[in-house]
Amino acid sequence: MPTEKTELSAEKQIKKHYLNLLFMLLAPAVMAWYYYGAQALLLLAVCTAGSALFDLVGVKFTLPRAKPPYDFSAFFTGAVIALMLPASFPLGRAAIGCAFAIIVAKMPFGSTHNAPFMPAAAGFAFLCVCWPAEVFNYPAIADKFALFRLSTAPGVAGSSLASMLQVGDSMRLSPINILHLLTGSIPGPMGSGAILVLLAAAFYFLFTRASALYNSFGFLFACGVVAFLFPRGANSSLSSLVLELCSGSLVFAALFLVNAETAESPQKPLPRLMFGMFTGLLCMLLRYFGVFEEGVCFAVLLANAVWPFAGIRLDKLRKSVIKPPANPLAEAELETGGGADAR
Amino acid sequence: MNGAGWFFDMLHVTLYTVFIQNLVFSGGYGTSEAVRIAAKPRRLLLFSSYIVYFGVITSAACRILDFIPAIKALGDTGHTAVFIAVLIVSYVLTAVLFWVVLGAEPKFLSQLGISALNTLVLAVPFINYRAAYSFSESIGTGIGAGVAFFLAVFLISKGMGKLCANKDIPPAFQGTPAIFIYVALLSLAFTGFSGSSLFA
Amino acid sequence: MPANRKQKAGPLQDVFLKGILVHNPILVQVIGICPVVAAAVSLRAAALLAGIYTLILILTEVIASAFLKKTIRWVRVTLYMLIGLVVISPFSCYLEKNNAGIRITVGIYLSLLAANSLAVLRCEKIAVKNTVKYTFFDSLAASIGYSAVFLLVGFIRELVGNGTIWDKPVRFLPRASGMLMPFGGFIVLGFLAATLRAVVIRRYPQHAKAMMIQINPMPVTLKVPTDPATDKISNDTAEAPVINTLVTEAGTETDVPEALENADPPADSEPVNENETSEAEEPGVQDKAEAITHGEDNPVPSESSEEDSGEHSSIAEESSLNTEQEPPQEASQTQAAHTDTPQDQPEGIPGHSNPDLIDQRFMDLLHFLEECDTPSEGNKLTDS
Repeated sequence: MPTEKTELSAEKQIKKHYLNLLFMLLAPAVMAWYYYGAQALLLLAVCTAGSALFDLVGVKFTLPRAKPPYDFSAFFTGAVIALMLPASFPLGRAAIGCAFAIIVAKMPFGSTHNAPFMPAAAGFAFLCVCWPAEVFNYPAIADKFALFRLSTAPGVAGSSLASMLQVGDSMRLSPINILHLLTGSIPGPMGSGAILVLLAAAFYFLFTRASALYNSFGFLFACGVVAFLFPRGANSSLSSLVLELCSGSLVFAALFLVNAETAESPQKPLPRLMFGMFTGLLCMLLRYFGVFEEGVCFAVLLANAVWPFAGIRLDKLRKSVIKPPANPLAEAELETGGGADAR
Repeated sequence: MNGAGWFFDMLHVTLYTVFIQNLVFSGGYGTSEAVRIAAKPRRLLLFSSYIVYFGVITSAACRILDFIPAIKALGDTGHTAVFIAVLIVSYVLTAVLFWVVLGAEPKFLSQLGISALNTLVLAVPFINYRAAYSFSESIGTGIGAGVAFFLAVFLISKGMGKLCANKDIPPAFQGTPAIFIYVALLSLAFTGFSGSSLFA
Repeated sequence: MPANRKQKAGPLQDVFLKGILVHNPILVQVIGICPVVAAAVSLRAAALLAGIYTLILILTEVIASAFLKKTIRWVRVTLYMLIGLVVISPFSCYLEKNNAGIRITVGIYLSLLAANSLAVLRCEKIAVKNTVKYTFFDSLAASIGYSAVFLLVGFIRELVGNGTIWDKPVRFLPRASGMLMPFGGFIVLGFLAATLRAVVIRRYPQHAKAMMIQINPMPVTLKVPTDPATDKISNDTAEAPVINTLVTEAGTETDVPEALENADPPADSEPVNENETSEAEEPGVQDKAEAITHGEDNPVPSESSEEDSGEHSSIAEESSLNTEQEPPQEASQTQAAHTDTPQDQPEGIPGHSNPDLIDQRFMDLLHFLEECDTPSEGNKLTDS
């Protein structure tokens, strides 16, 4: 029976979990500010504040007498959605996406931890479906760093690496190209292009949630294998591997979407790895055969839906393969006919 | 006609109606039955088999009838009448077969009626007609309807289990509201493949 | 008698209240969803489909009540579809010739109205068991409830998804075209259902227990954990996934909805009799073995059959445990299921933080589904 102490401890852990994630998101947020100016920060602020506001209002309406502990998950949801959007995305529509994430994907199910689908993925998927043109039209990177610039260049269709791969174009990789890809100096989602920064943020996971890296590793591994084996366009296998992993929000999703804690998230390392690989496969299927150039949010939603079944099967398989070590004491009791049942 | 070509046409359309344009999630067909069967999924396989059976029979019969010029020249209303008539005849013949030959009980025949006379099975010939599918593709739609139903009910059923275990659901959302929203998010997930609703 | 006189005073009011709110076909009974989620993308389309379906529903129910009571059930359901076709055809012809735009908007969903499960459900549950007059009013109530939801969904989706109302632009929100897709329809239905629940619980608490008509989201494998000390359902019920198979005192497994159906009705409900017209609030599940083709209209245990058996003792124990923890809306089930100690009807709905209450809510209403397949009669072709 959970005691008040254990419940408080769980609440603190959840709060700490989301605060850690928010801390990690600072790095890509700073990169977004560097590339797109204060407009990026404004979009981030609108999304996080909007999510928090909708969360408070939602709790007020649905649980008027209860006072659930605040866990900063709404801030995290808003920040993730903002960082996957282009800096030129209209603020009002971004707020609508955050409202969808909180009001539809989180509020009816109580808390983010108990939500069957990851709210940020649901919110971003909603934006993709409603305004695909705006979501996937990315502005050019600014020539100079302007700290307080509140406007960006308009979004341009087909300017991102993911859209280039979708139409079957290829790119010859050179050290400069690879550097641009890794530092995010190409049009794309405002916070998820700086791969090096994200990988650096991933180190933080080692100290806070090392187990979550199984999800991320499995996801990236599966995406990499598919990209290597089935390159799009005229790219070589190695080029395809680099391009696919650096395009869109793949690495960002690996760190912040795929290892999110929802109602049926796996907990043990092997299921986490398998979940990540499963989500990666779905993501690449959606990239190759889906309508949108970036299907990771839909892949996360599908994985959230299907995984409980797959997870149970995997657990049974694991138990049948990995038998527990024999207990000599129990075996001796069986031989002599003793044991609890015999008593 | 090339048998392999027939098979791949059929397979292509089956996969399309199951994953790309899942008839339940992307088209809304048979949703009532899906949600209700999801609450008691042990009959799912049998129910889905019946849907496949009636979907294929109806597809085949309607496609054959469409070769008759008089029927092909009919408009939407005429085709509606033909499709409904074909579905009813196929259900009645199947029910009579089960009743007379196999001695089925009325309760079973009623269950057969649920699996035959629903929007999902009736939608199959309409989809074939609108998309101008060939004979093999029409059979694929019939098979795909049952498989899509199976997948949809399976996913909804798993979701219902999660919702049941969730004690944090606000009181106003307990039960059907939470289930509706769960199905909505499932439908949103499938939109990643289709991008829009094709069957309308 | 005063009680009967009071009940006679507002049976129509109750019929309409229940048909529109408490047993709303879409939001509570989850029937006839297909055209709502897929075709109600504008107010105009929703009005068209709702109007046509109202006609179908009323005509089908009245004809079923007047002429089809003696027909074999599995033949009867085909006649409902034919009646639907007869009603739809003139409208479809007219729209094809005079308003092709709206005909394209509603697409095949106009034709699919003939196969809508609501008509079959209402006919099998109510029409063939009641008089024509009662059936007419009941079908009117159900169609008002259905149409109201249809129109609301169409209105909201057109406004949010298209930025128009009845094709007239209203631009104060960005147009979220995703709401025109089926998932948008489900979302609107979910929130409407939640609003309805909240309204009924607050305004009509006496009907709230009858509204616990929800899909039972349960796996079929677990047994009810019992407390060995008291031999009652243990508190682990709140933790364990809810089940729909109980191990009864007789040691046999039975389905919860069947157990609910076997339970006695609560004290305040009237047994439904085909000969009763205005007195009967609801047609009951008179014949438990008569499975309807499309689910249950009223899964409240008060409509359960008069048959009494020991198979419902487990649900009785469970209900009594829940009653101890004071969920008033569970009292109906307690009263229905518990044959030994009928309890007073509680009023109102309690606070919402009781976990057993939450689980019990999810455990309600299986006979809404179980009417399709009551597996009590052995493994014949009826069972999979």
